[in-house]
Amino acid sequence: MKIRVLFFAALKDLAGKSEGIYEANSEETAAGMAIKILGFSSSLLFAVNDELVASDFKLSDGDQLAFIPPMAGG
Amino acid sequence: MFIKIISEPIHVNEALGYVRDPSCGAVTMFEGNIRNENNGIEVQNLEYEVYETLFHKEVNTILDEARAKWKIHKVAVIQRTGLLQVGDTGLIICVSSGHRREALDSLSYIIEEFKKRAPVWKKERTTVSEQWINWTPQI
Repeated sequence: MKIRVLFFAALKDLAGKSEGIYEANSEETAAGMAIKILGFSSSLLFAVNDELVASDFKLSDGDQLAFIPPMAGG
Repeated sequence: MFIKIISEPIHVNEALGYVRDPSCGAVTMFEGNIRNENNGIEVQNLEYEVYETLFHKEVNTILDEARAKWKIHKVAVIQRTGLLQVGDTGLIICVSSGHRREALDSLSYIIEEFKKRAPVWKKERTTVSEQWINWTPQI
């Protein structure tokens, strides 16, 4: 299945792009995709289709997955 | 409630004008500005990045929580994005209520939750380094 992945802030610098389309196995989780693509998942939050989800959220074909680094607003 | 993300300079009066009301004796405002130093090092500028769709959802949730806790009339949030210089305003939050205590306490709650939960990031450029505030991946 295909997943659209969004990168923000330090992760965008790390990935060298703000988004990309990635292949994923069925039953793949949000954190599993982070480990595959970034090499780590700790410190991150995840949003699927613009909703925050748990790290073990199971992805579906066509989902948009955002990797969210620690926030720094205000 | 009024929530807006803009790339142009923030006009404080837009937020104040939205929340002011004849029924409200109190208006409070938080203005987040770009400071000229961080830990003694001169800051040159800050780059703001926002995950806009999630920002609207999360900030709406925070404002709903504040409304459930305090009797407040209106809230305005304006977030700037893009490259900001020292002295520029990155964030405005205004709250109006009948009396001062609700406006003061709810504003404090909103800004503290905003800092933890609003998907906003800042890349700080100083005279000696350039880094995302709060977190840099350790690979």
